[in-house]
Amino acid sequence: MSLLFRSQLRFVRHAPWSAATALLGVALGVASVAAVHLISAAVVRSLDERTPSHLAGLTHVLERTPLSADDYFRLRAAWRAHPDAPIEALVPMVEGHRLIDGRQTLVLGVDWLAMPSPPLDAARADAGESGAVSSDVLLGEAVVADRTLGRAAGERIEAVGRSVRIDTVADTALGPALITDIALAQHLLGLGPETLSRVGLELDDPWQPWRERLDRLMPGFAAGLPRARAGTLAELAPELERAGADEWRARPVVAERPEAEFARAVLFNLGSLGTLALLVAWFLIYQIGLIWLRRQRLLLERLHAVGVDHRALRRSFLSVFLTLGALATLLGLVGGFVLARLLIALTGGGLTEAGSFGIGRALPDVWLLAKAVGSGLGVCLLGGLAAFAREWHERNWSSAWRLFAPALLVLLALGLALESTGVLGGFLAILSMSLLAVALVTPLLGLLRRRMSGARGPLWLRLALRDVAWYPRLLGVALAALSLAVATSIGIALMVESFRLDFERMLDVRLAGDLYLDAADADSDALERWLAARPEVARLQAYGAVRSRIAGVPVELGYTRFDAAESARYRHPRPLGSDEALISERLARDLDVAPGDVLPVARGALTVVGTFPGFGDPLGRVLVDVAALDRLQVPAAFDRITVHLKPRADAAELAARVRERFPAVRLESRAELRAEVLRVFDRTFAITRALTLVALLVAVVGTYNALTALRLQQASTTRLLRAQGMSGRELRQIALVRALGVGGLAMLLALPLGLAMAWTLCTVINPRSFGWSIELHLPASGWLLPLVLGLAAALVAGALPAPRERGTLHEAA
Amino acid sequence: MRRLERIVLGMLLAAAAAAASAAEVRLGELLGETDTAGFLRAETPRPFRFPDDHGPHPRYRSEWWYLTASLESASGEAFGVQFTLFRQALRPAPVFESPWDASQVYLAHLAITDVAGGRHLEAERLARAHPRLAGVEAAPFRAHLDGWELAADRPDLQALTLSGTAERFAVRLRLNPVKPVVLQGNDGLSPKGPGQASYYYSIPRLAVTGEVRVDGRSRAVTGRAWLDREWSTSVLGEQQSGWDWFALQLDDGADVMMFRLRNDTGLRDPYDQGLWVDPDGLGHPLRVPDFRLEPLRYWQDPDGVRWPVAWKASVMTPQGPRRFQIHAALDDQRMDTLIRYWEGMVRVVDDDGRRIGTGYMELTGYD
Repeated sequence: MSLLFRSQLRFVRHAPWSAATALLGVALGVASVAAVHLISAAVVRSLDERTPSHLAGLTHVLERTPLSADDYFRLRAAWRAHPDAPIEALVPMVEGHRLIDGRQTLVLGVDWLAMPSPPLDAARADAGESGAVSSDVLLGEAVVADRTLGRAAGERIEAVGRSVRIDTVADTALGPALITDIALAQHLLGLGPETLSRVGLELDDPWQPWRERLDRLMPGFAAGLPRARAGTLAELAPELERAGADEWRARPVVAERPEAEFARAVLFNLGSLGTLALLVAWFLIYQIGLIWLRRQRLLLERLHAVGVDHRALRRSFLSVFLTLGALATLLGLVGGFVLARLLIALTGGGLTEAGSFGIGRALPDVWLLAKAVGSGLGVCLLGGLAAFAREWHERNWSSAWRLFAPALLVLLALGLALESTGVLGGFLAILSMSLLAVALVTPLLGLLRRRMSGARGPLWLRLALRDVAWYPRLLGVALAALSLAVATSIGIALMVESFRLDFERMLDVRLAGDLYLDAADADSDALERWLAARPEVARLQAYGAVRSRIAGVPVELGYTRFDAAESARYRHPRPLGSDEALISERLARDLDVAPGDVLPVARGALTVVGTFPGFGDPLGRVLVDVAALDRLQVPAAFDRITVHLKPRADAAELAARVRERFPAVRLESRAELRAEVLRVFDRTFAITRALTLVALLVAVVGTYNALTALRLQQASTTRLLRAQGMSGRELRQIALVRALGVGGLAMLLALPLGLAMAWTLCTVINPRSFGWSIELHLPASGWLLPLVLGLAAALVAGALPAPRERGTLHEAA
Repeated sequence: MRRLERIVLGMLLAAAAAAASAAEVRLGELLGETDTAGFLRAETPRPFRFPDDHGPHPRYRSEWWYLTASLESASGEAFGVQFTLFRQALRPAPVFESPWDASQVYLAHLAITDVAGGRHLEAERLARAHPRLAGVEAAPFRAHLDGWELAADRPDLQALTLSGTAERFAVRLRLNPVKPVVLQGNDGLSPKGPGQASYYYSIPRLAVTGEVRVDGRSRAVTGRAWLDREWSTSVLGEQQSGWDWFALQLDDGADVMMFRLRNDTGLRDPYDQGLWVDPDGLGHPLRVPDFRLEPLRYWQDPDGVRWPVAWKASVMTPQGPRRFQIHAALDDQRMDTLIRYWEGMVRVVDDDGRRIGTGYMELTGYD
């Protein structure tokens, strides 16, 4: 071990407190990143396992109107005649609905032998890990049934004169669905052999392996990238242009699984938050680097004077930070597992259904290890390097900032204005505004310094405020980190509060009934007849829903008798006609349609007469009157009933009677349903809040560190003041006001930055991630609480006693 | 032929399993050795009827149309071409009265060996039987799969054409039989083992003209080809680990087919067979004592597998004993398909190293 390194280690031994805080800060940052990775990887694994088998390995879905088997074979022949076309597979598919056992069931059929070679894991997933799927499915003698159908493997389904065995029960994420061979699907749906619904496409994509690696490094990351735009096949495979490829519309296969895209968008948001703590940890390391270098400056200058060159000094300085980084990585990895479990527990276990993780399963994940090591060592190395450049070479970053600031402004503008930049663009905009705010810290302190030159007031107050303004190097970084953490906290809190307010408003309008009955497993007709005969019932509303398609896009199609009262729930002023539809914001966005536009459907068209928020719907939703079902070629079947009672009727008594007579019916009152929905809502954002708190904790550690360093630096001044008669109480007041000053300044920056973040989250990130927009509200609980927390944290940091750290020239030498 | 049977079973099963996505087909279940109920079996000799027997026999479980050709361009560049179409019945009768019925499945391999270019390229396609996708018709003869086609306008298979395009190569050949159909085994019943057999016939020599294209460069070629046809419901014994098969066309007009089965005992398999075909087309079955095959040289592939790419052969012909050597035209003619095997063009030379013929060799079960 070199003499220089040993000298650095000795120095660190004499500065245990700052070393410990650095270790804690970086470990928390790594833990945050590792926890998010573990959760995201588990969820992504589960999503991948749930890829419906008919989509495994495909990249796009092709459609044209009309589409017949002849069209498919002509396209296939053109592909085979142009082997240079970047196509790996073309798979004919049929899809439709059929009432099976009285239940709306999606029937999907594919030509399995035309599928690309997928990993067999996909098959195992469909089999629910229970083993392989029989060749009977390939032959159309059996089906894969979705779990929601409530059937068991080995049971038989009688339909259209055939007895079909359920080979496997799987979670296909398609709702009530049967997946089978194309011949059986055509038979079940009453379609001729010439009828096809769409064609699956596997496009040869040289970037795919890189995309997969990126997604393994940052699970869910792909959702943040701009979405591949739909186009014609001729655009994807120009070699087939002359073969009529321009008549085929191609949509990325991710659009077939909006639920998975939705979940990945959540993961992207989590991943971005997870790295926040790491960013704050970088500030912490940078600040500690500055403090340590300042304390060692005389020693290092003397070493340089006796012939030790800059590079050797920097190497020895950085080696300590790397050692710290390695330790912090280990701690952070362990902490990541703990944090991940805590975060899962915060969601009430909802995420654990999606996947499981454990040390045994996660340790072989080289991506996790690489990410943790990269984060821990990277933060320490870059923080140390920046500090060394700043302190030793007196490098002034202001000139760099002058270059960066316009670039950040451009990035901010592009990220906000260009929707095509996707969620990533939104987050880059937030990062840009954060860095711009950080850049304002030093000028702000300069302004404060100038303003304070003629300030009046008690000596202790002036001294404390002077400390804040006159030590920008020491306090500026901590201030920036604290502002950033509090601003994020404000941004997230305001977004969540705004979302909750909008959500509650929606619930108030939508939950108009007194009792909500789910009769999926019961005889809904008998239930409806029985309820209609009850004297206390004023009105019954029966609902049905099915996964369908509008303009090729998968949607949830909801239907009921859309009279004026039902329309009012969606703020539509009149009953829906048989050629009218209400659509969710997300679908309007996906299809680029607005009220007044017309959507072609199987038989005719539907006019969009309004939109509604559809919060929490992973699929776009379409609502129509039952009279419109013919146009959509969807048979009517109802499985949910809302009961409106007459005034003074006893809902609890009716509920008890329903339970007694129809035990299979699931029943909830309005209050129960509302409470349950809000509970799920709050759980959903528990992880978000927790990750923000971790970042805030790191920032508080940084603030404490900075204030402590300032106090140590001011030790001689303090002794002088005490000798001149300043009381202990006044000295404590100085410490507190100094902390308050730091906290106050941080909050001054954090509030506007937090508001800007909240606006971006509500109007940019949410629409791009989930397809809905949120009206920004400014409830005090959203912005005041983080401000108070931040200020309190600064005060606590100032009030805590300073540890005795030596680390001066003589002691270190 | 056991060699092809095993290839067919293995490849179709793997292909079906991989391609079937959700349906990870249980191999035993799909084509289990005991699951032959409802299928016809090759048990006794039968009269062959042409052109009907050029078409499919869907009541038997497996069947193939197998064509190999040794070709030469005007400038003397040597090329080998292989086209194989396998049929596999997943059920003895259709499940649906629909063209999409999946009870019959086809798999095709198309490969080219460019000796001068040192390249062996192969492609693979799989499809269910469907009039627009894959299938075989007897008259007029047409065996096709997804754009690859072997077809003839005449019932005697004169003016046969082979056309196929893959990513890096294409073939367009015209073939005319110059020898009649010869029946393999016992009047076309080729025994596989105790109680097992297949129906097997060959056209051992067809004159070829046409064009091949490799990596964008086309050449006019001429040469000779071999066509094999076989169908059965039989399966192989567990003790057999692989086989070495040869179809050789000698420059003096004689042709010979031989295969050697490798089994766990290390002893020669009693069902090893062959057929010597005189220049005038008369076939003479070869039994175990009539021929001998010994490896001369091995080539080790990048995965460490050693393939016997040169052989010493001795055959007792009606004209007397013949000795020659068989050398791979290229060492690496592995079929990198769902099931890996070696299938490629060979040169036949005498003990002095002079060329006396060409042909094709197939090696399976090496790992």
